[in-house]
Amino acid sequence: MNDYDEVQSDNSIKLTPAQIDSLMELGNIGSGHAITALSQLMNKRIDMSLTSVDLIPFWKLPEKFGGEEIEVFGILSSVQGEQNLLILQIYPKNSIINMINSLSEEKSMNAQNINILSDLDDFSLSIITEVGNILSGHYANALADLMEIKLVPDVPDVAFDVLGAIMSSVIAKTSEAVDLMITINTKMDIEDLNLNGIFCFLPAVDTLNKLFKAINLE
Amino acid sequence: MEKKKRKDLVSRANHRGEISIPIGHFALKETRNISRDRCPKFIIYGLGSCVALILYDKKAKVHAMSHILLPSYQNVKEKTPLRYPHKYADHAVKDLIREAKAKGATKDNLKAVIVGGAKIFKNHYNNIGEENVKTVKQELDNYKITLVKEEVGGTSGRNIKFDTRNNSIFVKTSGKTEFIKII
Repeated sequence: MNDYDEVQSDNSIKLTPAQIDSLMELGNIGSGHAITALSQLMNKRIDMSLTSVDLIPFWKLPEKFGGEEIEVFGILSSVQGEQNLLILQIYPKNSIINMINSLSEEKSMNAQNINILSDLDDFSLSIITEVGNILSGHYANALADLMEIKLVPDVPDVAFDVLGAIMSSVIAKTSEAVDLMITINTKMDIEDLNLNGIFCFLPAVDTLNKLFKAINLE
Repeated sequence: MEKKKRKDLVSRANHRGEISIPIGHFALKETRNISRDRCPKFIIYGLGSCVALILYDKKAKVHAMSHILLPSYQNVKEKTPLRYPHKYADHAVKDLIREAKAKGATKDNLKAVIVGGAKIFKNHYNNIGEENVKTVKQELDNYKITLVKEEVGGTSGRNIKFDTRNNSIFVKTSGKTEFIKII
């Protein structure tokens, strides 16, 4: 049985092509704003992929990002209120170290010395949190404008761990009542700095109807 | 008539003889008539706030492991069968005991080990990991299953290997390089 069959057999959710298109549009615009902000911050040109929209069983989420064992930084912002939305940024370890080195005076941090989050000094951690905050803020603002509602993301929470561990928190937050998840992913890459990452917008499947209503799509 | 195989039961081993259990799934093996080198290892990579529940009966040689996501889901109507009962601690404990007994384990001989329940994102107001651990322990207590070892909490993810050959369990914490035997 492939993914599609599995999704289809969960009769609670079906997405029309128009709905998929509109989710993709939200992802393109949200990530576009976030990436513009990052480009200004880093003073670099950034390549971004087309946004992909996927409806997958909850337990396949780590696979979607490359597998449970990969070590990554995860920056998670919840958007509370009417909607139950998460904005997750995923960066490989080296990318975050390159980001910190590029934004700090010393430029001397070595990725090999970072094995757990507390190996980072306070200054580096605050850089990550602040950049994460700016980017998820821009992402959420762009969505809010489109939906004509107010969306205020929490100050993001930063974790460094294997993907499986990071994703379990995300899955727990969005799939309590349903077995399917929607991922709206946009990849970005700053070739000059060897810095890449993924913006992932995760609306909980059981609040999708409200979301479609907000963008005038039933 | 042969019983239909459950979708949330993983039984396929990789070339190293490891059966990897995704969230909301479980593994189960009775090894009475299996040579030692064919006994599988149950593994979970990247256990975060989730909890791995292990049950084994040394005498009946029954081994079981569940990958639990959440403490419970209150709104599930009794009559609606859950597609993934092992997602929820309360259902998982009940189901894993039942499956182990169906393979020949007896409740008096079943021992439990739990691993996981970390808090990966520090500032989260709710601590799902801690609640998962609490619920699993409560349920084990309700069923009078002895908990022989727990390796829970903290702020780092874990990898876990359960060797069904001799019921030994190894855990590797994120950021560390080695697996350490916990039982």
